[in-house]
Formats: sequence, C-alpha cells, structure tokens
Amino acid sequence: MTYNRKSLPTLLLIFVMLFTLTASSTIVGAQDEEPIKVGLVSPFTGAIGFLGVWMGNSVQAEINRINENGGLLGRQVELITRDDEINPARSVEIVREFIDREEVSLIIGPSFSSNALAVRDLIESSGTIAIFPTAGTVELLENNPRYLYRAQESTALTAAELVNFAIENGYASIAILSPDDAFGQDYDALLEELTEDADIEYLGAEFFRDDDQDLTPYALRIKDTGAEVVIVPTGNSSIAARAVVALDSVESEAQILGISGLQGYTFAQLAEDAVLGSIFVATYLGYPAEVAFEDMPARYAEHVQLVIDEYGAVEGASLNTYPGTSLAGLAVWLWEQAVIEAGTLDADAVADALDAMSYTADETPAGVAVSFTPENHEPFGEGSLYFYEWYLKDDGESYGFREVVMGEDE
Amino acid sequence: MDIFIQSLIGGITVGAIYGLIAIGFNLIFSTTRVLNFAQGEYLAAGALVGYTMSEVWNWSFGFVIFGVIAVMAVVGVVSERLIMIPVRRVGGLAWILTTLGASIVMRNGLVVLYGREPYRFPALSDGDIRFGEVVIRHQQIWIIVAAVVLLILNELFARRTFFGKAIRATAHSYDTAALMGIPVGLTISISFALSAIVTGLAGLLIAPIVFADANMGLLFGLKGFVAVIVGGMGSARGAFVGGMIVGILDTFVRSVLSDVIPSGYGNLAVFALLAAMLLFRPTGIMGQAITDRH
Amino acid sequence: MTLDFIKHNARIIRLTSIFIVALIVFIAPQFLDRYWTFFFGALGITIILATSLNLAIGYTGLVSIVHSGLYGVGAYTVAILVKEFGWSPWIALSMGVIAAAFVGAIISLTTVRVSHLYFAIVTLAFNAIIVEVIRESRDLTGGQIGIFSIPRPALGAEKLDDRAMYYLIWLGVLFSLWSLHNLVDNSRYGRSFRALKSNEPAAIALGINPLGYKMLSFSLSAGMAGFAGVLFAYLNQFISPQLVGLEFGLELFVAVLLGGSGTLLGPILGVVFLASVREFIKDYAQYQQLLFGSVLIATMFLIPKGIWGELKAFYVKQTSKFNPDDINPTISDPADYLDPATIRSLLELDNNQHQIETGKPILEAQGVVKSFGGLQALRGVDLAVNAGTIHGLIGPNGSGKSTLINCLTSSMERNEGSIVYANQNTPRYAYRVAKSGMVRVFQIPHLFGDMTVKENILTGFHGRGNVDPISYIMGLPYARREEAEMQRIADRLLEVAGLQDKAEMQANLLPHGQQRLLEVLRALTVSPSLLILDEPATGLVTREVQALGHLLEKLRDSGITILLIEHNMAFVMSVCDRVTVLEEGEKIAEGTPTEVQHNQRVIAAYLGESVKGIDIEKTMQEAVERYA
Repeated sequence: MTYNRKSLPTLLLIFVMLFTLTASSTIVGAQDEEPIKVGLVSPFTGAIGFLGVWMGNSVQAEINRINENGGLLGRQVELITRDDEINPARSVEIVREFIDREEVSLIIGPSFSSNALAVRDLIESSGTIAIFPTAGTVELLENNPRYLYRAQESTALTAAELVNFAIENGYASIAILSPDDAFGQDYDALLEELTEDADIEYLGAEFFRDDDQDLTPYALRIKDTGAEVVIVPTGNSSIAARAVVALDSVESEAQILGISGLQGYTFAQLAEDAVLGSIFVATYLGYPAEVAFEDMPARYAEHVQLVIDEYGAVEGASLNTYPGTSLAGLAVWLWEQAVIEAGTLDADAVADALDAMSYTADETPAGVAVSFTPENHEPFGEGSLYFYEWYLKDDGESYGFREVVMGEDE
Repeated sequence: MDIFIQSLIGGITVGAIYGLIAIGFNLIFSTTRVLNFAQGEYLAAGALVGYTMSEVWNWSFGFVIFGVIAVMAVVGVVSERLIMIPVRRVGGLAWILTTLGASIVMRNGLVVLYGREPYRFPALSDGDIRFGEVVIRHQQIWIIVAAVVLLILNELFARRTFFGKAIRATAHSYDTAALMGIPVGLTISISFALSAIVTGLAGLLIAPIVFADANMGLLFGLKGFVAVIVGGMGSARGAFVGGMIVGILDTFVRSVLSDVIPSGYGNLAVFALLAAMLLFRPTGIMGQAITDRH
Repeated sequence: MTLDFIKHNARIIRLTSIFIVALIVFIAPQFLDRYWTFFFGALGITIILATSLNLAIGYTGLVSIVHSGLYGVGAYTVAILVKEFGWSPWIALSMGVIAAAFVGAIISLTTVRVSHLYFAIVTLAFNAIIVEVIRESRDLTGGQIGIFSIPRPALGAEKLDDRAMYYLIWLGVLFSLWSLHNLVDNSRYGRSFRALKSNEPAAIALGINPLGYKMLSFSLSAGMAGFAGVLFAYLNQFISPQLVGLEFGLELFVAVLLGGSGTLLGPILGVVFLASVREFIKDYAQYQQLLFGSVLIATMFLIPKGIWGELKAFYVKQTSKFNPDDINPTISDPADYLDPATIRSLLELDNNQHQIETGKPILEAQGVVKSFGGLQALRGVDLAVNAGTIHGLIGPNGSGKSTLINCLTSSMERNEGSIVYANQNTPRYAYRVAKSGMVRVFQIPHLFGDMTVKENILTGFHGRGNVDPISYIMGLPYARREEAEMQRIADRLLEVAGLQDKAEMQANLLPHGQQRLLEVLRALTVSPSLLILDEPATGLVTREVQALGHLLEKLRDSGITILLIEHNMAFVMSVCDRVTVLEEGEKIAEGTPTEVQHNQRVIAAYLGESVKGIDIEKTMQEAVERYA
C-alpha cells in the first residue's frame, strides 16, 4: 500500500486543478444586455484558409452595416469566428461551443460538405438557425430540416447545370476527376442519373486521394476514356489546381468544367497556364469578372463595395477580386431580413420568416434570385447560375475569368 | 500498359525521395537509436526555404542548393540539441516526447513563417519527354539522378572520411568509439546535420512535383520511415531500396490496381508491408540486427 | 513538517481526498453549463483512455501507439451496430469493448517476433492500418465524413442527456482506476505484467509465459481503450477518422509519459495538464500548436521525469530517513533461522511431481553442442547432476558455462545433444522450464527492482491459484481471498528468511547481499527441485559468502538439488558434493572437489601448461582472489 501513500500529492493536485477549472467555468454573465452573437466556422488556415477569412470579411461587412444602422432589434450584432482546419471533428467541437457556450443566434458554416454533415443533427436538435454558404452536398438538407438553410448552389443544381452546359455545347461524353470525398461521390451518383436519358455519355469517375503525390496516372486514365468533358467537382482550389495541372501534363484536350474550386484566386496562382479555357459554374461573380459596378445587380454591387471599403481590393498577379464571398454576405443578410420580419430572435419565428422569403436577383447580395419554402431550403432555382471561363489577359501574364453563355462556347 | 509505365515512373520518383528520407532516418538512428519523428519536417523546411531563396530572393539554383544545405545543417544541429539533451538526462522513452515536440515546433514554426497555403515551386528545368502516352517530366529525371548522386556521396562520406567512420564506430558502441578517440557528441551533432541536409535536399527536389507546404512533411516522413524499416536499419543502400519498394508499391496500388482495389488502399498496403516486414524480417532487406544500446 | 504529517496520516488524508474528489466530480455538473459538462465528460474519456495506455506502457512495458486506433475500433463498432443495424446501445457497448480487445489480442501476438522499440513501430503501423480501413470502408464507416447522429443509450424512455453522459463517464473513470488498481497492485496477473516489464528474462525464468501475459495485458488494455471509444461515440454522437488518427495517439502517449507512466494517477495528471495547456492557449489560435510543441520540449528540459516522477522524487527525498542498517546490514546466518521443514511446507515441495530418489541423476545432458556463427561455444558437453546434491560447474572465463546454462534452461536453442530432466526432455520454451521443476538465478542481479521485496516474492506465486483475471479486476471476494492467502505465505517466507522488516522496500534499494538472498528466495517460490545458481557469490563479502554456503546446504537438506556455477574456488570446494570442469566448450574433468583439485588438466586449464608442481591449494586460492 506504499503506492497510495506516495500518490497523495498527486491526488491533491488533481483536486486543486479540477476545482479551479470548475470554478472558472461557472461564471455566467447576464444575457439580454449582450450583443446578438453570430458564429462563423470555416477553415481560416491551410491551403484554402483564405476562404474563412473572406467569408469573415463579407459577414463582418454586413454586420458593420447593421450595427451602423442601429443594430438588429435594437441590439448590436457580434461576429465570432473559429477555424476548424477542415477537420469535421473540430467543426463539431466548435459548433458545440457556439450553441452551448456562446449561445449564438445564427451559425454560418462550416464550409465543406463533410464538415457540415458532421454538425447537421447537432444544430437541428439544438434549434439554432444555421445557414451554409459553402456546403453543397444534397444530403445536408435531406429529410427537410426545420432550422438549416443553404446559401449556395447544391451539387444537384450544379451537376444539372454542368451536364446541361455540356449537352448544349455539343459534347458527346463526360467523365469525373475528383478527390474521393462527399462531393465526388455526389457527382458520380448525380451524373449517372442525369445522363441516363440525355444526349451525352457518362464514362465514369476517377477518384484520387488528397495524399496522392502524383496525379498523372489518374489524368492518363481519364484521357484514355476519351471523354470530351472532364468535371473537377471540388470546392478546394488547391486540389482543383493539382487536378488541372495533371490533365495539362498528359496533354488532355478535354474541356474542363468545375465548380467553386475553380473560382478561387489560388487556383490560378497554383495551376498557372493549366487554368486557361477551364469553365466553372457559380453564382454571380461580376467583380472578379471585371463587370462595371453600374452593370452589376444592385445589392451585389453594394455588398462588394462594403467589403472593399472595409478591406480593400485584391490585386493579385493571378486574379483581381475583392476579399469577400457574396454567399456569406447572403447568409447573414437573409437572416437579418428574417429577424426583422419575425421581430424576434426566436428560432421558430425566424425559420417561419425565412420559409416565406422570395427575392429577385437585384435584391440579394448574391446577385441571384432567392426563395425558400418550408419544404425547400435550397436558395437558387435552375437556370439562375452563371458560367465563367478562365482566359489570359492582354498583358500576357495575368489571368481572369469572364462570363460565357451556354451554347455559345467556341 | 501506359498507365503501368507511368505509375512505375511516378513510383520510382517518390521512391527516390522516400529513399533519401530513409537515409536521413538511418543516420540519426545509427548514432543515437532515436527514431526521429521530426524527419519529415526537415523535408518541408528544405522545400520552403528553397522556395524563399529561389522565388523571393531570386537566387540561382546553385546558390539555392548551398543555401539550403547551410540552413538545414543549422536546423539539424539545433534540433539535435532539443531532442538529445533530455534523452541523455532521462533516457527511456524520452526520445518519443522530444522528437515529437521538435516535430510539432518545426511544423508550426513553418506554418507561422509560411502560412499553410501551398506554394508552386519551379522545376529545375521545365518540359518533359514522351513515349507515346507516357510522360516523364524533366524534374523526375533530375530527382532520380540527384538521389543516386546523394546516395553515392553518402557512401563515400561513410567510408572515406573521418566523421563518416566516426559515425559508424559510434553506431557500433559509444564506449568503443570514445576509446578510439572519437568525439561522440560532435559525431552525433554531425549525424543530425547530415540527416537534415539529405532530407532537406529531398524536399527541394520533390517540391516542383507536389506543391510545397508546411504540412507536407507528415506523410513523407511516415513513408520514409516505412522505407527505412523495409530496407533495413544501418544500411544506406537498403534504405534507398526500401524507398523504391514503398514508392512503387504505393503508386501501383493507387493507380494500377485501382480497378481491383480502391485507390485508398495505397497507404494501407504500405503500412501492411511495414507490419509484415517487422514480423517476418525485422532486420529489413539489407539491415543488420539492431541491439538496444545500454 | 507537512510531509511527515502526510506520511503519518496517510490513510485518513487519502480517504478524505478520495471523498472530496468524488464529491466534486459528483456535484460539479450542478454548477456547469452544457459546454463545460461536455468538456469534463470528454476529459473523463481521455482519462480512461490514458489509463488503458498506462496498463500497456507503464505496467507491462508494451510501448503502444495504437491506442487511439483501438479507441476508434470501439467507437466505430458501436456506431455501426447502433446506427446501421439498430442494436441497443447498451448491448453494442459490450461489443465495442470486445472488438477492441480482440484487435488488441491480435496485435499483441506480434510480441512473439518483435520486442520493445519494434513493438512500438508495429503498433504505429497497425494504427495507420486501422485508420485506413476505417477511411476506406466507406459503406460502413462513412469514410472521411464519419458517422454522425449516433443514438445515445436510454434509461427507461429517456435518452441520456449530456449530464447523464457525464455521470456515466465518470463512473467509468472510477471503475477503470479501481479495476486497474485491483489488477496491477493486488493480483498475480498484474505482478506478472510488471515483472515482464521490469526484467523479462527473470520473469521467464520464474515460469511466466511472456506471450500469454502480454496478450492478456494488451487485450485488457485494448478493451479499456475500446470502452473509452464507445463512451466517446455516445457522448459526441459523431466520429470521423481524424478523431482516432496518429496525432491523437501520440498526444495520448505524451499525456501518459508526461504525467508519469506506471502510476495510477500520473496519466490523469498528464491528461489534465495537456487539457489545461490547450485551454490556456486557446486564444492564440494560430500559435496554438507551436506553443503546444514548445511546452512539450520545455517540459522535457525542466521536468524530464514527468510531473508525477518529479513529485515522487521530491517526496521520497523529503521523507526517507537515513537508516544506518541499510548501509551496513547485520548479516544473519541462515543457519539460525532457515528451517528445512518450514521451507518444505511453505513452498509445497512435497507436492513436487518431479522427485527423484537422492543420488540418482535428476538432470542429464548429453553431447550438447552450441555454435555462434563459426564459433563453437559447446563441443558436445555431457553433464549429470544427481538429486539431492550440490553440483559445482567451474571453468575459466569463456569456457562455455553460461552458454551451457542457457541451453539447459532452453533460453538458447542448442544445435545438438539431448537434455533430460526428471526423466523427460526439457521443454522447448524457456518459460516452461520453471514448471518442469528447474529454476535459474542469474549472474548479475535480476530482481524486479521497481517492485517491493514482497512483490518480488509474490511474483513467483503466479502459477498458484485458479481465479481468473476478470474476477480480480472486479475485486470479487474469492479473488481477494486468493490474494490474501498468497500475501500470507509471502509474509511467512520473508519472516523465515529474516527479511520481514524490508517487505515494503523497493527491491533495488536493498543492500547487495540481501538482493542475492532475495533472488534465491524468489527462485524458490516456484517450488523447484533443481536450483541453478550462476555465480551467486560475486560481489559478496566473506561473511556473506559463508551465509550463502549455509543457505545452500539448508536448501539441499530441504530436498532441493543445486547446480552451482562459481568462480570463487574456495566456496565451490567447500560446499559442492561433485564438480564438473569446462574448458573451451569441453568437459575436462568431473568428480568430487578433491579429485578435481588434483586433476592436472584442471590446473593446466586455470594456470597454463607451463606451471607444474606448485602447491595446488595455494594456486587455487590465488586464482580465487584474481577472479573475485
């Protein structure tokens, strides 16, 4: 029994530690005087860390506008941001903190479908409003959740639009080169379905892993299928860049189509010349596509201006853009309208208000028409999205993208 | 067939890199019996430091090589101090904590300096050679050539120079080495410095193929580690062969056999090989039996 | 002084602290919001996991980096069973534990082939394999995404809420600590684990089956890790491969080593320490990992023994009084106290299956050949040891004595020859040799240094008793009775040997002479009929050598045959009934001490051919002094 005697100091120390931790945690402040909290969870570091930063900018710019106009329901709004490093386990931890500790009224994020799926039930069961501006998987809104909304185009929508695009432009066959994640799986299943009765042949998907060092063999396989269109369905710019570089190195002549992974400025920075000619589907991107302010949808222009006023424009070698994400702005703006409509922060009332929403393209920060119903929490309808194509600017050095219209591809 | 050859080339390329990392592991293990968890971080450091020198400071490639060697030598010696001082004091399993600590500090030091975004690193010479559909990038040839040169230099160093022999004597026994008048402490420092240099140069070589980022060391380190076990502790040539085996196996499972087995089983195959090697041939292909030092 | 106060009121203080801690743990949730309830729930789970790792590393010496993977096996098993197959969470719980234990058992099988450092690497490989399998078995595990919305167990109609989970978890923490305490401190199984960690060859010589006990320990440890995983799956209701990966495994490792492995409370300290560090640096998000690594390295520089290790060192330093007896022990002569009849009954020698009539050979080796590479260490040695005698085995350095012993006890595989013990071939595996009745005492002391004197004795009783490990873990009454009975015999044996006042002392703190005595005593606990002693007189002073001689004679009179390898020639000549002499792997003489002393080949072997006609007694004495 000497053992126990010796362990005594330890026991005491543990006691002290537990006690301090306990004591420090019991200080709970008053609720009503505090600002309304909005939680944003996204990667803020890593290959696409800019995503979180830019989402934060967009949300903060809109919140600043709210606060300068006297706040929401007479209270100030405060943004809390957390970095989940694209790790779903971290997302869960953070969302728990948002709900239980910070008691936020709105959760924006997490980015990416795996992360969003991980917290889906946690948020729904807590009765907190969540709007996902960067998670596209269909599964996220399955079974008609009450408090979860999307502020982004879903995979179902983008896949349909991309297939349409390919058909309209006369391509005969289509294949997928994708990391083996939720998006890739979604697309594989969706394309199977979409091409079934269509005038285009689906030649299958080639999945790689994010830890693959050399993507050339996958690119070679894709090339061997003879597909005329290759879809790279990833929201991660760095991975998208590796995929198009690999396709370029095997001299694939297929038309590359993609989604949000192809729109980030790091995409062009990493992939350089390999980006040229690739086309992606997105919501309205007037500013980086160098549309004049007066030609943009009004609310979109206002949002971009808010962000640029606060954070300045980004003039990179690869792409001139603004350091924000209109969809994140859309998320907080939608919530703001719903709270004003409901006159309360009560989640059920806000959800009811959201469910009754319908706005035109000119009215929303996304520059795209938005409407929700109790049965449908997807914001955008078919035909509302835009296509953009990467091109080399006249200076012969910098890259840019410009809108292409379906069926008019050269 | 094209895919087969393409994968073979890819496998040999990364295999050469794993081989160099394995040589790095070996150098440190032989003098200290420490498996350095921070080995992969040398690779990331080499790649990112090289990026700064070549892209930000616009040094010519020759200067970049010498610059990376100088920086990695310092990194190696400093990490030796951090890792080995507590190990000498308490022994036992302290090495796990110190090398792990060193790896976390180095990795996140790089994160603070470079952020976590990937950097595109220019190849030594752009362009490629094509045989039908098969593409061999110039950089891949450079990697294989450079790895072989480094392997030969390493062998020459081990056999022809005083410190090379000192490392081998120290590997055998501290006491014998000390009796022979070998400065054991200095020899250990040198083995760390060399290990960091070899691995850092591997980083410099592979960076144009994969984008360089602060976290790249983790997986490379792990696979290089498998390579050293497969090839056998104590043999640089073995380590190199081990690297080739790991690289080719990994690439083959991922891309050649991907119709038969899901591509993700590449890592699985590598680690299964590690377990099998340890069980059925713990000395590796070319290694000697390792005795614990007392 | 405070420490003295603690020392003298240990029991009261201990009970009070346990009570206070339990009280705090119990009432804490009343003051905690949901976030902190969850936080401490998760902390409790990590404590269980660290405790399970501690059983493997701290108590059995199995360095494992696979525990996060085993935790994952438990978590994924319940998640799949409950979510996909609709099992009841309570039934799934046991399946999670069993699945993890099963995987642990398979991994521990590899200890047959690899040891120590390599085992750590094997576990690293297995961890990677587990994570990859989870990642790739997408249909079952959800791949990278993981499994979410895992249903919690229900009590009655109500599913457990966070607070109920907190209580369930901390109940689990208490149970884990309590069962670990039962197992490692108060059971023959736990002592065998610790013996294997402390000194594997010595444990094997006592008949402890290394594979069997390591498998047992690792499976139990894995089961506990699985239990932690199950609790986590229910608490978090979401699991993904990132949660069970290498990073977490290494962090656990750090917690256990930092807190102090091989102690019940050390790992808890480590876990709490790391969690506090994390909470403390939470606001420095981008520097968090950097700070974490720096803290780790700084800790290794400042408190290299770990938190508990440093505390313990401080406590021992402050409380241990200088005891002159420990430096200059009075040597009591076994002639005064060792009573053959008592020894016979305590050690159950009469039940021994292998009794051979006195004077008949009990051990017969014929033509034993052993080579190392090209070098022949034994070139066909014959040896016959008669029951009831003290048989000496001598020879110059390098003559093959130790090699012969290694072959006799199956520690080494011989190339040729037969070895028959008590009319049967000797077993192939070293650990079975003890059960066949033969036990060896090593040349350099092979005590279990970090265990107490009494525990050293108790370790030898591992084969007695028939209560299973689970009953010990649960602290069931009949397990406690069996343990009490063993303690009684050990106390009695120590008393007979005059070591009763040192029973609770750490064995490596004993003076050298008593360490020797303890080692012989420990060898006796497996009820041997043949005791092999490898140079027991080395490092003993004259009086101690005499006492040793008396001890051996007493043992012989108790019916134990002794094979004595010795350099101290005078000692050999005085106690041995017969002597065998080896030179360069060959037997050159055998006979009574007097015959051997006059054998010219023996003299030549010891002194070289050129020396002749010198007084043998005197040269032998000189030889003795030279070798001593």
